[in-house]
Amino acid sequence: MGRGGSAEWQRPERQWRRTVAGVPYLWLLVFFLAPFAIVLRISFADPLIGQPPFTPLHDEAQGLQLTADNYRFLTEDDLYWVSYLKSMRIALVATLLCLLIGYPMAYGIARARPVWRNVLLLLVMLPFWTSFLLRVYAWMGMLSGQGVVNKALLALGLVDQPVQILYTDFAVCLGIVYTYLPFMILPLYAVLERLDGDLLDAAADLGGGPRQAFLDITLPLSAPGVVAGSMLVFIPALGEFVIPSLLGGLDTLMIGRTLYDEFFINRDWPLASAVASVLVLILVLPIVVFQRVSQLGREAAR
Amino acid sequence: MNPWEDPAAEPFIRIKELRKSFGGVAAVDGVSLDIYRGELFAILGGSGCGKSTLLRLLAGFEAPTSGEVRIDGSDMAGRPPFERPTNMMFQSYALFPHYTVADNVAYGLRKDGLGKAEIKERVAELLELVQLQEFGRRKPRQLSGGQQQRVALARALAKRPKVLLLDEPLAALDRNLRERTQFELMGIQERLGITFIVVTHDQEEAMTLATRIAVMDAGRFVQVGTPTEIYEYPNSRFVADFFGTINLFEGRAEASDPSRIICAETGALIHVEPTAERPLPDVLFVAVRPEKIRIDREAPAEQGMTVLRGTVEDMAYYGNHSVYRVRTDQGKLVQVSSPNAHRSAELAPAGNEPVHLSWPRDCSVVLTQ
Amino acid sequence: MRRDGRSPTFLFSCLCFGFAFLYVPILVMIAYSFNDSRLMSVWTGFSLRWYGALWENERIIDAALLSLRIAFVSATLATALGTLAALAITRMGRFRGRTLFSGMLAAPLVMPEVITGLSLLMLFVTLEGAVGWPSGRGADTITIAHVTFSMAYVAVVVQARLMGLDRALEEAAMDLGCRPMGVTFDIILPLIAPAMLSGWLLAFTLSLDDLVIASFVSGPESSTLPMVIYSKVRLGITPDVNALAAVIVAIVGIGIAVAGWLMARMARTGSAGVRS
Ligand SMILES: Nc1ncnc2c1ncn2[C@@H]1O[C@H](COP(=O)(O)OP(=O)(O)OP(=O)(O)O)[C@@H](O)[C@H]1O
Ligand SMILES: [Mg+2]
Repeated sequence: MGRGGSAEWQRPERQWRRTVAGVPYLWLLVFFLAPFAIVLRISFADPLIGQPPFTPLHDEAQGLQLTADNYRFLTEDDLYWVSYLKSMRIALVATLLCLLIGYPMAYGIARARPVWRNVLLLLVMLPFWTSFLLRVYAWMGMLSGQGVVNKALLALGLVDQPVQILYTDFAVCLGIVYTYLPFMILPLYAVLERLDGDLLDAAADLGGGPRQAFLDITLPLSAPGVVAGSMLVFIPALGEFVIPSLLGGLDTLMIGRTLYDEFFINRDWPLASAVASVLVLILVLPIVVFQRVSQLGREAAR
Repeated sequence: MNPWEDPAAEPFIRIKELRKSFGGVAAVDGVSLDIYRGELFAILGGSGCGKSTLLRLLAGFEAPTSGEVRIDGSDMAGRPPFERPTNMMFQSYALFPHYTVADNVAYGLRKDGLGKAEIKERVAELLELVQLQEFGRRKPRQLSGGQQQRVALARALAKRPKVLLLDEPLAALDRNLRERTQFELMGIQERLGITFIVVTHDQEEAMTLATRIAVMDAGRFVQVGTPTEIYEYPNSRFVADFFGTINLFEGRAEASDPSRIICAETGALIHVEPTAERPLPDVLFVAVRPEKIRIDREAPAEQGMTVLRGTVEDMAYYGNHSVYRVRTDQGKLVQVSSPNAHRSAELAPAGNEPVHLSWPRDCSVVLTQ
Repeated sequence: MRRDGRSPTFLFSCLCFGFAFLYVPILVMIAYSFNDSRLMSVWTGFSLRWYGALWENERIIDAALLSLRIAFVSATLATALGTLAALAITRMGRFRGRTLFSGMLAAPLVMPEVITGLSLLMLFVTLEGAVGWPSGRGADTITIAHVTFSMAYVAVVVQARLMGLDRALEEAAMDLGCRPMGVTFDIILPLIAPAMLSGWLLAFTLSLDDLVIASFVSGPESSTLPMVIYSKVRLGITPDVNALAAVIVAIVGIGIAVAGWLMARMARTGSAGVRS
């Protein structure tokens, strides 16, 4: 609590403190942590036709029933390997594309006149407030055989007949870039805006010109924003379901979609749980990196 | 007689061996102090020396690591801020931005459960005291810095605390306003008779305001005394240096006559008051305030004066006085402040002129640390 | 644009391209909501028939009402819980399990929706088997799920504001005789109200927007708007969805304008307690 933390007089206020921390704590324990524990345990159960569709974890006769069959199956069936790898590839490519488009935009906004900055930022965030699903749907119309993109390509004479864009991996990438671009721009803007203009002037003054100043000063100093933005795009993209299911082809097997299908179509709850458990495991590393970076950023801001 | 000189007087605030450490580092390191009713006590020290921490210990925002605080006879241990007879005026003023000026002032009274009519009356009284009668309906941000400062003062005074704690109350004001406010603060304190403890890092402010001053360094009190005592009889080089300019001569006392001190660097002879009982250490310092030193073309006639010969290196004219920097023949630079009693500048020594510096022995302060 | 590392024209064209990328699909979608034809390939003339169709589609209207109800309740609960959580993190010092608490609070921000949805469903099923609650799934379970993930967003927004609040204000209140609980109501809550409002709006939008989690934890009788839209569009383009999109964009536009105006007003009266 920093100042005044250890004072003894806080004792009569215990009740109040307990309520403030206790209520959300309890909520998260019950509705966030407990579900994970359950998923983890169900991932070790056998599927069953019935409700719920898995073998009970506790059996009066035999005690705890655990089986690693689901995990073994994950390694045996190519479907899952391909899904995990494809998810990572698509998320990675989409993240890079976001960076490529987002960086100059963030830089442009940060260097715009102050009156313009807020307007531009609002424009970046505005799409976020409209429906995510409908923004993905918008691309279905754009990319379809008769859609605006194909019409433009035909009109420009780049192609002779409509090309298949919808229902490809590329369309999924595009959809991810489109929906997650604001998450890339905002943290980048936050660091770029704070960069001291005098620093750049000084660097330019010392020779090398603006290009060198950009490479020497701006780029390294904006690294935290690059990492934060990339994580904010990469992490949710990895588990994305809506975009691959609407814009992807049948072979765009992203792991979120595979999990969804496993659950709703095959109704194999234990296997879906195992897929989820592995996905969490894959996500731990980027999440830890993200936490570290944002913590460093907070400390630096102080 | 002043209460602190009266052995029979009962201290109003008694601080004993107070200590507060943050993660092993002591911010307040064993402070003991008695403060008497109606005093305007100043705590003075450099940045980070623990002044604010001491004040926060008194207010109850921090719990002491060890030690004791008694206010008006009762032990403050374990007493939360909202149950202490103290109020604090914050450095940042900490005015509630969502309340009007009047509501800010009334806040403490409301918490005391006073009646509406009484609160209204008291708030009006307080706003009058700080001359803000017309501003009761405004929000703090619609006031100037000086006005905000006075709202903070009125709010802290509203509950008629036994002790008012002020953390750098004037730091945010510009120089003119600060000087005017100092006198207002003193006037209010005298009128209400509340004991004030003021933290400041401005020595002039402490000298003007305070009945007594405690000089603090690294969590400890180096010296406690009246402004005169501290200025004229500093007990260490730190205090001497902290208050205005001072000339320091390192030297050693003659074995045969400890009132004669031989300057270590220059070999010059400095006369001091004969010290009593205790033997002087080998290395000691003589401190002399610039305004105690006379500057003349001729050597002074009186006996027992310390006399140094030198040349004026440069001179700065300040209107009511001038400041000379004189290089003595032995090579030491001495600063002298001389009143401009005469109108004609020709009488005063000018640059590169040989001069005599002299001062009586009772102006030499012997420092052993 | 004086200190550019690159030429202004380059940045300017990047901005133009970027904003075109962001807005053209939305504009095209809205434009086609006025197309008379069912197909997106041809423009057969201006018409409002899809808006009429939308108005008569009871399934969509019901789903929209359900979604709004869920969003309202879950945003309100999430704001309450998220604010408490932010207070606990920033104002309650160290307590047992604080690390776990802040971890659990941050995790929903990065958790894939499929996992949140799946795990909550499994919880509900297990609970129903063990204690008989919740019996079946529907609006209530969706609301609980939405509260759980959106309270994390509220907590982030409120926490940022709390960290910027001058602690001296709270100390001053205590110094003047207010107990800690009173400080929360007298000082902290009024000063973080704008952040709580932003948090509420964020939670409201997230709830309205959510498809995946709702699909997992909904029952047969409770289809939210995104679920209905999804079931329509997964089969291809349908112009009444375009009309719906246009309506939503219009509502959001108006909503943001009003919220911006409100927040600017609140900021003018309430932000002085924030260190700059
Ligand atoms: N809550 C705290 N946690 C850790 N260290 C602290 C805390 N409060 C104060 N300190 C440390 O204690 C020392 C004294 O701080 P304090 O604020 O009392 O100084 P100060 O004399 O008021 O300085 P200033 O004139 O700059 O206000 C400093 O070194 C400071 O870093
Ligand atoms: Mg201080």
